[in-house]
Amino acid sequence: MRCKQARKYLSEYLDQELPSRLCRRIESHLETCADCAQEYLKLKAIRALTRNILIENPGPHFYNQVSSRLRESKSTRFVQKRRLLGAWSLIPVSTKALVTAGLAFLLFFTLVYPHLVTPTLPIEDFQQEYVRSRDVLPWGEQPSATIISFHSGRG
Amino acid sequence: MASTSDTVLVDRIKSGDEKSFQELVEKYQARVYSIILGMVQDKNDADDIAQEVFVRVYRFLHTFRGKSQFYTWLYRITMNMCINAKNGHRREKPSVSLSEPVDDRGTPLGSLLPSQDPLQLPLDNLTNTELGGRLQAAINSLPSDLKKTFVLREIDDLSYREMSRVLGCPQGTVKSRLFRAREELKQKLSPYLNLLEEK
Repeated sequence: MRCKQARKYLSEYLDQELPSRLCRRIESHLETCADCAQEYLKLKAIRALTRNILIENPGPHFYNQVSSRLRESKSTRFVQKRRLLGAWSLIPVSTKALVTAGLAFLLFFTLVYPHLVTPTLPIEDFQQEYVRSRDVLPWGEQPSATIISFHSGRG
Repeated sequence: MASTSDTVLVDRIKSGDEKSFQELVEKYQARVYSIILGMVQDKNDADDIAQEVFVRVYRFLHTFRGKSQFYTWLYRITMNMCINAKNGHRREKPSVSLSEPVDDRGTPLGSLLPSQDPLQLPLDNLTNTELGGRLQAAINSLPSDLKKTFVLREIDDLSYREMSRVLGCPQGTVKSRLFRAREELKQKLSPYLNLLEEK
């Protein structure tokens, strides 16, 4: 195995994510190549250092802090609901009735009314159009009659 | 399918068992906190975000149907919270080095001490040395996608398959990001790593 290929796999080798056959090839390469072995040791050192500085426990009272935060968030949501209900109860009855009626009116005419009304045909418009079209037809016949009488010598 | 113990805990929590919720929090708090710490670099922020993660877990546990591992779902919430924090939903704070102790005036002690020879220092003690600080800065300078993939892998040893589920990307992308993150870190830390090798 060449160095370029081995180095490509060192990261996965470190994470033990390579198939065993490829692992063995990497291992035998590392045994014979000092440079690649150095590169691998660098990766191991970075891993050890990272775990040393990053892996920590939060404070000893962590769960208690989570618990109080949960209680706070529960009571905050409860208070918000109460405030909404409280604000509604402060509105005068007449205004509440007006708002409710307005909403009901709007909903009725946008969602329900269109399905209740039967569509009607515009009969008068249709009749006018029909009569107008009959007036046009005599104009179409006249030029033919003139041509026929001309050819028969009467023109 | 979720692991048996997580499944049992989740079912009990859904039934209202608070003790089971405490057990779940204690089981995952270190991992969640460490992942967030790796992403946001500030202990106070990490603490705050970690608490918020578990509050969300409790509030939305009814939406978890058990089709994936519980920790996949948990880490997704964690990552999303970190992204929200990074996108400026939180007040920007100057990043504080996690590995450099400071004196009363806030001056890092490492700059006051005579230059430490890394060869003399065991790896266990590196949280208080310049190398730890450099590594922290190097991790922080990684592009966001590389950073979260790298941090997730180094904290929890998840397989590439599990990581692809958490991060919502193909396994090939996970492999590629880890490779690139490590190459970048190797480059940035090269002088320090060379010194350690000579030891």
